[in-house]
Amino acid sequence: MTYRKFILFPLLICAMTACHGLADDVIAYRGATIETVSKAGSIQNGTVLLRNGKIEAVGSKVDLPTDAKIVDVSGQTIMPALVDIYHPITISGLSSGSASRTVVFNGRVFTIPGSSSTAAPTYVKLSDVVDPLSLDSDLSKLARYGVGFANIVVRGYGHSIHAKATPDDSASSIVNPDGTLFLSVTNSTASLDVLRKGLKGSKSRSSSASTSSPTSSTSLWAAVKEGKAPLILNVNNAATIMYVLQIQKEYDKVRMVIVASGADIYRSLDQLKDRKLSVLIKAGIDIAPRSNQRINVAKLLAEAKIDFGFSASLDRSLDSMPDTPLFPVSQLVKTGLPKDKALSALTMSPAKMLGMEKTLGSIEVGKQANLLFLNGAPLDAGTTVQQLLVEGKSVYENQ
Amino acid sequence: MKTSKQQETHSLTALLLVCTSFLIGSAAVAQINPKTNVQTADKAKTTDKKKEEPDQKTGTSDKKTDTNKQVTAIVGGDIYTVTNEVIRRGTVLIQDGKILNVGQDIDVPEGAKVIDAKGKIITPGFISMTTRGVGLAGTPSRGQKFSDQLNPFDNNIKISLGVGITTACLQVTNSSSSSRRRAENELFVGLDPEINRLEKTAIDFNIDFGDPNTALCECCGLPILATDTIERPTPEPIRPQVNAVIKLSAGRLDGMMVSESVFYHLTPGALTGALNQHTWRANIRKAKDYLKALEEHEKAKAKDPKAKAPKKPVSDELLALVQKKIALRISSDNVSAIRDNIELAKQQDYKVVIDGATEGWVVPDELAEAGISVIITPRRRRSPRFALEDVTGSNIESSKVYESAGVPFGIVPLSSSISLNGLAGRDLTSLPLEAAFAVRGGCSEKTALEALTIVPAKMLGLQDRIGSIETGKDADILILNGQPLDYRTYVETAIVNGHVAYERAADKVYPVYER
Repeated sequence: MTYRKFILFPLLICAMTACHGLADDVIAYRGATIETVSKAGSIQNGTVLLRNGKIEAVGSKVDLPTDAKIVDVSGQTIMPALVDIYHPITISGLSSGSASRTVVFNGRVFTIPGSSSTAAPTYVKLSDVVDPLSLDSDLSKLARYGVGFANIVVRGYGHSIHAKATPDDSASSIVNPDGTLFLSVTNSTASLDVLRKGLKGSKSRSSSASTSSPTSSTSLWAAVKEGKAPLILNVNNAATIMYVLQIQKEYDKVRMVIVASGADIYRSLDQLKDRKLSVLIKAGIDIAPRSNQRINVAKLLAEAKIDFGFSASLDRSLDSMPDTPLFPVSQLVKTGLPKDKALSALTMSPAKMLGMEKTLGSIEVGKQANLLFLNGAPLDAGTTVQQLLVEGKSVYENQ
Repeated sequence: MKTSKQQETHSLTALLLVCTSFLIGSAAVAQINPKTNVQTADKAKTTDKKKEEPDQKTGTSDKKTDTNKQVTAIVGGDIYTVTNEVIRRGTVLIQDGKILNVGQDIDVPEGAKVIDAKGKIITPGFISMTTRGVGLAGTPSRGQKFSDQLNPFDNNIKISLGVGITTACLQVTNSSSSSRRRAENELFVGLDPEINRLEKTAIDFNIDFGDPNTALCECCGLPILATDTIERPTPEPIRPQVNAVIKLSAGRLDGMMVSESVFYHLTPGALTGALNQHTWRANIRKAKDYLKALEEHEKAKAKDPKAKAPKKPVSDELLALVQKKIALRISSDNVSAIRDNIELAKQQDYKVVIDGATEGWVVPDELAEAGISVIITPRRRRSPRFALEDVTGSNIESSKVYESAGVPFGIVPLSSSISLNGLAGRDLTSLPLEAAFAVRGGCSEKTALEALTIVPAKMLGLQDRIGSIETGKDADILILNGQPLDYRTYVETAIVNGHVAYERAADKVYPVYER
């Protein structure tokens, strides 16, 4: 459990304890290569200045205030912490066995059909049922992988929670209990009807929805329908993607995020073009269905100009806690995925999908100081994670 | 507990280190100068990119509008239209999923996508009348809609397209109904217990032997085609089976579902016995009475809008049958059972399609007179009954008999699914071969081709959409590299709803070598 050790960068902790409540927390990291994942691009020998968990300045030359603690991280690369917008957890006592279940095994998401596929998935508001303290192991896994912010979901259908990866402070990890609407869809009438009725029903009730509680599922669907909130759909095969696309045709404002396997996306690629949706896949090389041909789905998506992101939780190596979480992405870059697309798919694109592009996903002034420190270029094969900061605080250090 | 101790010790070391860090920090401040010209240069670059983007977008949108009006032209092949003459070196134009024009002297419009079919043969897509396990993601159970269970990415679709099947009439027996049927079969006296056992085994292992009366070889355990005599089926409850028609539009869900109600499909024994026939007549009468009452209600409604509507006593499918919108589909091999069905159809006045009809060759004129069409399997072999050798059992010349009597017939292979259980040459992929056996039985090649195309289309009530190459029909077209019913012939390209759904070279389901 070495990753839980607090102090490798004692300066930070010290600054926190010493200055707590008295003065601003100011810290500067300099000498690093900074992948901003913004217009500023990559900055050589740059400096990031953090104040109270936010980014105050970034650039090759930054005026440092006198109260700033300065950390020399030359030789390292700083990039925004990864954003994972689909992290499924299991909650004991919630599985009725009637609907299909999403199970994570070795970091891989499996959809297991329930005893009766005809039963509609039941709505779960995750913040009502999840104990924040129980998120500890999940958050530490994510932190080790370099994920600073996660959208936590369960199997089936419900309302997620947004959490920051602070494993040693899991009680305060939930940043937004009113997260995002998510739904697992199979090509069965029951689960498709949840989607159809959700999108259809919100129209008639939208007037009353404003008066009802803001977290009710009807008002959520109304927000989804008006494009104010995203809808995350986990689809279990390529045929289901076809059904989802068919349903989406009638609702042009809906912002859909489709969570799917690379092979299923590959099959439906032609029909995903020119559609208003985003795709969330596992980073890595896939194998084309019914062949042994290797495919780079991310590259194909980039070429087809389809918005896509990676989810760490879809990667089977999440549980094995690798030091080199970006290795699968480096494979994709090596085989033709543009580097900027790859970095964006890890950070900015998922943040945008969740509608949180103003606070997350890049190293820009005013954003949260969720920073990932690496010992080399992020998309080189051997690069390992050195440290993860979430809101300026170190949550994981590699030693 | 350990961690809290660690924290204490760590914070101590941290206090020590902080002093050194302040020293480093002050040095760092001195070195930094405020120069950030790099950012503005980057901004200029991004604005240039933005200018380029809208141009590209308009370019793609123009293409988009084109794809809707895009004409595909298949040029140079011999076109077997089925309903009209063969057009030598003709052209088929396809637009928006339909056949725009077909003929010999047709100009290919500018910008059309041209498929060269010189030396090839072009036919309409084949229709498989009995299909299982193609294009479905699972077995639809209660509460599930057929239309929500389709899987356009099913590999069986590609395998079926590879032999020319573009439309499939699906049968679904869910696990609960097959177990029900088993239980009831055991209740009926006279059913061979051996057959019962075999059928059970077939169901348990989910092996498709094609013929339910298939026996297993005692020495090697392989299935043998049934050769025993055909008895009358034992009575079964009247329970309609589910039928649906789908297009094998590989990869496309749009336009895949064609119809969910195409037949009133009954099991073989449903109309056997006095009780069953009585119930059947009563049901039909109920349906007819209801339709009359409904007509009168419509008239009454014009005068009095509050008039009470009559209650529907039967299912919608039965009403459609009585209205002759759909046909009764029933499996009937025994000649006396076939005669019963002819009688009932005449009396009750509905359309009938007889599946199997192994002994139907005995009564071709009666079938023709009643307007009944049959679905045959030319290779099915059944022995005649003792002392009735001339008027029972299967007949290799059935196809010739039906053709000359004017009984429309469709063809299905011995098994209805794509099977990898050692039944090569019997499963769904042997459909064109099965039609070739009809030619061997004496019918013309033209009739055999009709039995795969326009005749099934008529049975399904879809003759306006599929079954031939005519202007205005769905563009379901095959490009073959030889004669349609030749066993050496491969489908080169299959077009479904105007889209290329199968290409032999690309899909690699069947060998890609040239012979």
